Amino acid sequence: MNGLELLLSGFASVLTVKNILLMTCGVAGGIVVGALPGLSATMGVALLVPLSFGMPTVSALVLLMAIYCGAVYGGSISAILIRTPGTPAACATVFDGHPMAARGEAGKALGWAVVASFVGGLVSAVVLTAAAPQIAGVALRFSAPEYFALAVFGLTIIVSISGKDLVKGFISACLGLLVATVGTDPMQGYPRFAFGQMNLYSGVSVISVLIGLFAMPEVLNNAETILMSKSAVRQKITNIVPSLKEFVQKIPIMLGSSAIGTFIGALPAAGADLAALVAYDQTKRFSKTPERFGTGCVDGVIAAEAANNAVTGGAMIPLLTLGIPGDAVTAVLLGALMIHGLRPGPLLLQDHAAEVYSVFAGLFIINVVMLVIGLAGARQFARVLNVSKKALMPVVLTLCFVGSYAVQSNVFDMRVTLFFGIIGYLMLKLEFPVAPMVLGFILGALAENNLRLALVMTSGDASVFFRRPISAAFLALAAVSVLYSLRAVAREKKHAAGKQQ
Amino acid sequence: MSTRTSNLVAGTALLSLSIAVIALSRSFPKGRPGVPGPSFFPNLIAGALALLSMLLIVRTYLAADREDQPEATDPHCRRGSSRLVVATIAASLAYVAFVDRIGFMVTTFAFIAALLALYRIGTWLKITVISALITSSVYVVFARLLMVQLPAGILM
Repeated sequence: MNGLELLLSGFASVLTVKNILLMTCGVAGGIVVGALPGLSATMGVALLVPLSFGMPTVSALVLLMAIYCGAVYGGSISAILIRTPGTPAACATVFDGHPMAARGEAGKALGWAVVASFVGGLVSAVVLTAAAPQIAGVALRFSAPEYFALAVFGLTIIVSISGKDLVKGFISACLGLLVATVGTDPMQGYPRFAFGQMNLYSGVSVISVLIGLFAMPEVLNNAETILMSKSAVRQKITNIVPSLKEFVQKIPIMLGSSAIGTFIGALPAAGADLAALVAYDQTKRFSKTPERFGTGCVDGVIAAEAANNAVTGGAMIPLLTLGIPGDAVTAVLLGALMIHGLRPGPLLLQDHAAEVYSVFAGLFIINVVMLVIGLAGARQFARVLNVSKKALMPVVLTLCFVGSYAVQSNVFDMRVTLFFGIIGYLMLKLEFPVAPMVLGFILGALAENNLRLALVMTSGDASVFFRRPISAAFLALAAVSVLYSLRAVAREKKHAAGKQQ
Repeated sequence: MSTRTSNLVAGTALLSLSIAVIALSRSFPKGRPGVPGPSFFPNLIAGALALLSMLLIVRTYLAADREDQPEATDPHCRRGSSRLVVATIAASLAYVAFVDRIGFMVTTFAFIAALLALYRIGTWLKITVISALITSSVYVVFARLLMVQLPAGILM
């Protein structure tokens, strides 16, 4: 079957009543999670992975992606209405979205946010469908040295954008790699760091680590300020749906920002927040009226929202073709794929073409669903902001525990979740980024197996990684990405010092 | 705790962790020349971690005299009540310790009620109603819809 036929059969398998219902629930749930400050897209997806466990693979994946897409858009609701980005991805939406709301144009801002998110998501789905098979084709030629180099590349690039402190990013990645070594050694079957605990022989549960590191620290962090939390202000929301004429006028901005978002999304681990900021900045630069940006200019909202939703499809590219997550949410999706018995990587498209093309098709439909319920339900979703955090946090915490338990019906996994929750909270407080640790944990087995395999292949000659061209290219890319971020950090420090003087 | 102190504490703890990993992996079976054994990868990473944590300690130490210590500007780092965090963790510890002995329904109800009381959501009646509502919803979703065998314990 060729690509188009596969895509059509993908649509056929996704377009069932059950899947459409799941996508609708997923998008709506995602919007709610995204809109609530303190609940992120990553957390929403991580919490729902256990729920999707018993479902058929395609249904599970479209549900999780629907939450992802919904949450990225949902973040704009609180950004516009209460000047607090519901997710980091919506930080650039605040700049113009909130001034618009303050002027009484909340409905217009929300409407454009949905439309731009829809266009962004759709463009990225097109790019994903077109580019993924090509990249996977090249990656099929990989052998152990290339896979090891790829894992190193995947690791360094997340480290390099993991905030202002590179050393802490690397430390976090090392911690994840160490956690990955817990359990039975893949080559000789020796139990490592299990401390006689039978539950650890098969390694640490992926879901427990994901929920522990991504969801629990947010709850604990919210607990700090929970007594100070207050309800949102009520806003009048009218004029939501933009006119066709306006839509046509804004197409260039939407397409440009979508392209930026897809590209940045496809870079491993450069997330939606960065994409939105870059697209906002570029749109402002090319605008005829740059001075209006930041004062409630609808173009700013459009640029930010088109870009951050375009990240969704972009981030799936490295995930589905190379097995490397494009951001924190796709790291969780990687875990979900593994639970469903799919090993992301170049072979995925070859061995599970039907599932992968269903994911492509699903992404198109999810964005259509998002457009419909986003426009129709804007007023209702805005009410979510009045939900009390005091009641919400216990619910989330319970779901953290029950969710991690549900995968293997093992209470030990709840304890693992709590352990990593506390570690994640401490890391948050000590300003260590958590995402590199998750990536290290997920890529750890890939890195170790292929490093050892490659060394066995060459009787311990490490130069193999530099002699094989693709492997050398990945290692060079890894070095470039680290050097680039070192330079960026240095420049930022200089910039900050200059500002102080 | 200032950024400086916390960095020094974290650096020392991480350095100890890497030493512990290297010490523990000494008991693993040895590899042969050209065939790395089970301790090879953990040692490689622990070595990197040791170097990085020393770098963190030294860097923090050297930066001590300078006044331009980066201030915590991350919104996550705003000051709040750490008492509530400790209490939330304590409640969670109790929950995961007892849920399989006492049973899902009772433990979860008590856990949620304790958290709601801690967060001062309102009267005891309100706490009881909300806890019962949440517990039964979670039960329906997981036990009835997803057919998960929730911990039974001596009660339920």
